[in-house]
Amino acid sequence: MATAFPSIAPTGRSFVAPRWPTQTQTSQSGVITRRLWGSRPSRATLSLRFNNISDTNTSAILNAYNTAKGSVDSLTLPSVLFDGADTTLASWLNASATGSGLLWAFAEDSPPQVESVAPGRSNVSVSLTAELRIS
Amino acid sequence: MAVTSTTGSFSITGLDSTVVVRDASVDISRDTLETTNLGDSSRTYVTGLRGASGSATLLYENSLLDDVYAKINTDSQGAITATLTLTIGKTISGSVLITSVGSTVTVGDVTSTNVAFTFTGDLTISST
Repeated sequence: MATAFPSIAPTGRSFVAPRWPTQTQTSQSGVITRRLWGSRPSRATLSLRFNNISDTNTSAILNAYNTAKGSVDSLTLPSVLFDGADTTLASWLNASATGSGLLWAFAEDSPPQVESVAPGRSNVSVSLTAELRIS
Repeated sequence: MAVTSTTGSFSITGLDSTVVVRDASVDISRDTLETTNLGDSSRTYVTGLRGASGSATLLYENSLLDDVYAKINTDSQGAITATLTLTIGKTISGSVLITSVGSTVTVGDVTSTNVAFTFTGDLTISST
């Protein structure tokens, strides 16, 4: 069952498009051959930055991470995460443009990071990854 | 917010009582934390920490220089309280650390010393 990521507008966002599963072979003559091992790209990454957010919102992000058991459960992402992008770009950023089956989850080796900057205010960094998975 | 008084009074505890203050000012500032989101077209902020600093020009005889210079010369200034009283009776006071002292000596004129300080901890701002 997917966990809902809290509806908090980010202050910074960085996206890396999903990669196609390819393998490259280089012959002794220098000729490069690439072979495609699948029909769908996968492993997109979305890095989000939430600057100076309240303790309530910080707790909501940490709660989502805990509820999803880290990278185990998939996430449903609210549209507010893609604020500032038009619908076409947003469809690429949320990976829906590449077809169904890509599911978002917290990145396995990068839990949310919380930096306390003032009483009641924190900077939070979140890394998400979109993978082809069953659930 | 800058508060300056020329007809009020200014004092720092521990200074010789005969020190004459020519002018004094206190600036109170408040940090802002930016909360602008990616979908916003205008910057938004919330309030952060408050701080204050100030300065004063002191006039006195040479024999009283030790008071001020001793405070900036010591490794631990201890509790020094600065109080600025405006003409209308409002007072701004708090613990301060003296951050700079400099004297000007002119032949035929009184010695003047500029003192700068930074408030540490809460300020007390009285109502008039």
